[in-house]
Parts: sequence; C-alpha cells; structure tokens
Amino acid sequence: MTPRHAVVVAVIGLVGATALLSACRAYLPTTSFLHKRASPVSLSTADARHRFDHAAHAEVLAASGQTCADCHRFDVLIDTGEEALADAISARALHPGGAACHYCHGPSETKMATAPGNCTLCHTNLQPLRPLNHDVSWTRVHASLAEAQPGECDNCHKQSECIYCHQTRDTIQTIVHDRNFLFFHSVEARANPMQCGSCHREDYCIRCHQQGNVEVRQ
Amino acid sequence: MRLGWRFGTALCWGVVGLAALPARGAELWGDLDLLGQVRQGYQDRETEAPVDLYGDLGAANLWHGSEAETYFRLEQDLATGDNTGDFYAGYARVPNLLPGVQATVGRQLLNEGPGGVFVADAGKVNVDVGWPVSFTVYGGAPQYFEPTYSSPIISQDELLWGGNIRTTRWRGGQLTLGYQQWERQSKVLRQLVSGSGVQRMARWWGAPQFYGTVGYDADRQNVDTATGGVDFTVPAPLLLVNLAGTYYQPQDNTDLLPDINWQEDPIFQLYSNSNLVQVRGGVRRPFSRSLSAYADYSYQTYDNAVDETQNGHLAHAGLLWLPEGDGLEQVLIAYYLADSSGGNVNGVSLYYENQVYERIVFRFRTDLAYYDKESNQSDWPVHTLTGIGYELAPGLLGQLLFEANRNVIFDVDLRFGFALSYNFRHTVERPEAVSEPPEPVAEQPS
Repeated sequence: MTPRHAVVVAVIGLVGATALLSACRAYLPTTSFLHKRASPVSLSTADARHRFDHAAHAEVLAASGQTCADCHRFDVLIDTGEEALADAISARALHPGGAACHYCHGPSETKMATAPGNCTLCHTNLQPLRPLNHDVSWTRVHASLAEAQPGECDNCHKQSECIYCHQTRDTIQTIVHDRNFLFFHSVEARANPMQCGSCHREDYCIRCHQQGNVEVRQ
Repeated sequence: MRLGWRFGTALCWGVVGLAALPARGAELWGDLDLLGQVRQGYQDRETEAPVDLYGDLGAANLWHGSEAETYFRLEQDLATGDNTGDFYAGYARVPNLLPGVQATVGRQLLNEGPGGVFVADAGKVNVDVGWPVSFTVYGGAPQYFEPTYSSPIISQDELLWGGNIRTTRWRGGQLTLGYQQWERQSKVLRQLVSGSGVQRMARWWGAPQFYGTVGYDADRQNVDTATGGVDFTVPAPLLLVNLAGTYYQPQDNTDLLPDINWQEDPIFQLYSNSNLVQVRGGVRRPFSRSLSAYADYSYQTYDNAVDETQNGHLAHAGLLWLPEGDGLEQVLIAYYLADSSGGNVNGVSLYYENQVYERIVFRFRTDLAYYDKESNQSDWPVHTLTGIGYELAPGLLGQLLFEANRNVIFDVDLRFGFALSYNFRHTVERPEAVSEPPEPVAEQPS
C-alpha cells in the first residue's frame, strides 16, 4: 500500500468513525460525573420580554404623551374558568410584544432618533434573528453586504468579532486559513488576487519570501 | 517598557476604571483566552513555544448609555524569547452624546462603504436626529498589524477621513452616498466617491434582496470597485441562493512598478496589470433541521504584467450534519478546489465537534489536500487536530490540543498545545429599573 493509499484509507476510516460516534449519541452513558447538556437551540425571542426598563422609559414616554394603554391592553375579556389559562391569556394581553418596541427602536420607518437600534439591547438569544443570507457562502460575500449597509453589522456584532479574523494573526490556531494553506497559498492568490489585500499587506509576503531559508524535505 | 505594552496596559486600566464606575445597570463582559503550543518551526526547525493571550473586555450601559471595549493579543515565544507582535484595539462609544448624536473614539474598526475595512486610531460621529437620513463623519490614522515575519516596508504614516449620508427609515432597504480620502505619507492614494444600496423585494418571487456598491476614484478618475448581487430563496425544493459580480481596479495602469507606498493594493498589483472581474454563486440546500449541503463557486479573470489573461477558479462544497439538530454535535465534510496559473489544489476536510456532555468538549479536524504547482512542486499535505476540553469551573474551560501533520517540510510534524478560556458576563443591577408592570386586571366573565 502506497502512502497515498494509506492516507485515503485513514480518511475514510475517520469519516466512518465520526459517523458512528454521532449515530451512537443516544447510547452515550450518563453517570453522576457525566451529565448531558440541555439543547441550546431556542428560536424563541421571549428572552427580550423582560428587558424593558419602565424607569428608563418614563421620561420619554411621558414627553411623547404615551399612556399605559398605548402598549398594554386591560380590556380583554377572559371567558374561562381555568385559572392557569386565564393567567396566560392575561399575561399575553398585557405584554405588548415586539411591535411596540420596534416602533421606536427600529428597524422601522418610525424609528426614534434617540432610541438605540442595536438588537443586542434586548435580545440575548440571537439565533432566531440570524438572517438567511448568513447561511450562503457568508465568509466569501459578507464584505459586500457590510459595505452596502455600513453600520448594520454593529446591530448584532461586536467590533472584536470582525477584528479577530481581519487583524489578529495567530500561528497556533487556524482562524481563517487551514494549516495546509501555507503550502499552496500561491495557487489561491493567483486565482483571486483581490482577496489577499483585505487582510494582508505586501510586506507580509516579502518578508517571509525574503527569508529564503525554508528547507524543503527531499 | 515597549509602547505597545503601555498602550495595552492603559486600555486595560481604562476598561477596569470604567467598570468600577458606580453605573447601575452596567453590563460587564470579558473573554480571555490563553493559548500555547510547542512545535518545530517551519523556518529554521528550531523548537518554538509561542504563548498567546487574547482578551476582549468591555462594559456597556455606562454614562449616557455609553460602552467601552478593548480587544488585544499579547504574544511571546517562550523558547526563542521572540515577540513577533502584539495587537491592541479599544474604543469608547457614547450613543447619545447629544440627542441623536453618537460618538465613537479610539482604535476602532471603520467600515464605511466600498473602501474596505480599516482598524484606525480614529473618531467617528453619527448624527441621526429623526430625519429620513443620517450623517456620519470620521477621520483617523489606520494601523496595521502583520506581526509574523512583518516589516515596516510599507509606511504606516497614513490618514483616512470621510463621511457619508444614508437613509435610515426606508422600508426594506438602505441607500448610502459617501466620500473617503486615503493618504499615505501625505500622498493621496484615492478620493473615493461611493454609492451603495440594499433593497429587499418581499413580495417578489423568492423574496430577493438586491445589493450593490460602486466606488469612483476621483483622484485617478477610474471606477475602483463595483459589486452587484442578489440573495433569494427558491421555495421548492428549498434553496438559498446568492449570485454576485464584482469589478475591481485599484490602480491606474500608468506605472507598472510604482513606489510600493503609492499603491492602494500592492498585493493585487503584484499579480495584476488590469482590472479583475469576478462572477460567483453560492447555494445552500437544507434537507432537514439536522442536514444541509452547500456549494460555492467563483471565477476570476484579469491580465497579469505581460498582458496575458489569467483565469482563476475557486470552489467549495460541503455537507453539514447536526445530529438531532441541536448543534451539540457537528459533522462537516467539505471539498475545496483552487485552479489558476499557479497550479491546482484539491482537498477534503472533516470536522467533528461534540459538546453532548455538560463539562466536556471534544473536537477533531483533518484536512487532506493534493496540490500541483506550476513550479513542478506537488505534494499531499495532511493536517489533523484533536482537542479535548473540560470545564474546570463555570466559564473556565481548559483544553489540550494535539496536532499531527505531514507536509513538504516535515515527514511528521507534531504540535502539542493547550487553551485556557475564561468568560464572564455580569450586570450591575439597577434597583429602580425592576419596576413591574401593573397587575393584570382580569375581568370577570359576564
């Protein structure tokens, strides 16, 4: 068996082992030491409900002539004998929902200038807010969208998230390029020379190539 | 004490100071990562032991709702004693300095239209007083961090300033007009007059979102860059699609080899003597909540320095499996291809991550490629990474990492590493803020 065949066999073996490991998840043991994690996926935006601060809004709501009844409904007829259901309906009626928040905070035509518009102001679970276009070749096209809508990324992302990929360099982790990229980066650079400059400058190339002391295994 | 350390120390103390302010309702966060690795260096085969400390410390909801954030990387090689470079960024933002006026000052990311992104020591003011449009002005000195093997060949003496006006209350879209001037060593690199826009057509078939940017360099009198694209959804079978085209010409063709400090994009000019045109497409096919496939392809064409047309192809495709759909396990199998005048590359990669148990994280990655370069070099590099982590305390995760690689330099390249991550989120409660809504008034059934 040649080394190349050995590698192919090893890769196929690893894929198989991974599939087996994932398929056996239901059979993984749970002991006093090994607790399984609860599902982290939630597509509910309920986390934003209790972020409203009445005290912080009192002044601006009073100035704009808003009353309690503009957001909350107190006139709901609850025609049920079940206490739990009545409580739920009552709470639902009292909770104004996201439309009332978005009326001033946007994104909307009625956005109030002094009302912050970033999603993270109220939402901690950003999963249900994730735009669909983030799932299609996003690392390759996000620059165009970010340039077309300056300031929009700030609604959900911290600057450090952008800087982490664009500006920091790391020889321990493989943040943007895989470890093997070093050996064939010239092929990709010639395929699309437009992409290197978005993070690197030419002196990065020059300095490393000028070293000239990379010993290649014969 | 080096300047960088002083800057970093000042930033850290600044954030700590802000956090110490008696700001009720303030939110504090921190993400700290300590990474280390022992390996043989590719350059000289000497033992290297780099240690990196990454930090992201911040506080929000401070004075006038302001926020401050600092992000840094400190690096030291414990084996060689080298320090290839540290990185610091940090800024403070006051959202309502005056009603409708937001100010940001510090070393920050500037992304203001098709001119690209910069990290700059800068100030930025955004004015949105409730009109249909808002205004932004900014200015500062870009900073570059190429710590590994870098050099000061390209001057850091730069200035960037500009402004834009954009719609803020336009349903389903946004339009921005801007101007940006970029100078290096007092020479104007470009005067970019730009326009960009996004428009979603929710009632059209596929609910497409169109986007586009164009940047005209008034100094060199040519279109530097233009992009147009569309995102849409095919309902049956469900497909998410992106199609885009780009034109790129950051040079004026008057000098084949001008001063490197006069070039907007020296790496591009290293390869190209013309404009570059790119067409690309991407698609994602969600089969179910737990299984999806994706593919992406781009074609680039440009002329090199001897007026010879160069064509480049880049492609990626993969299958993402999230067993039970909850993300606690991820399996990603991918294929990638690059083909250009420099040669061709074909590669496959496999990534597996398991967080099924509360305190244990396991991940594995392998990447196998075959390349054949025009310089008659060909090889099949292999990279594997195995990591296992344990949550030592709430927010504190320790990981052991092991890499086994094979490439043109090493028959066997073994790397041993660790990662220690700590993160916290803390809110300083504001007692008066917890005012409950009025008690529900449930009417009696009639």
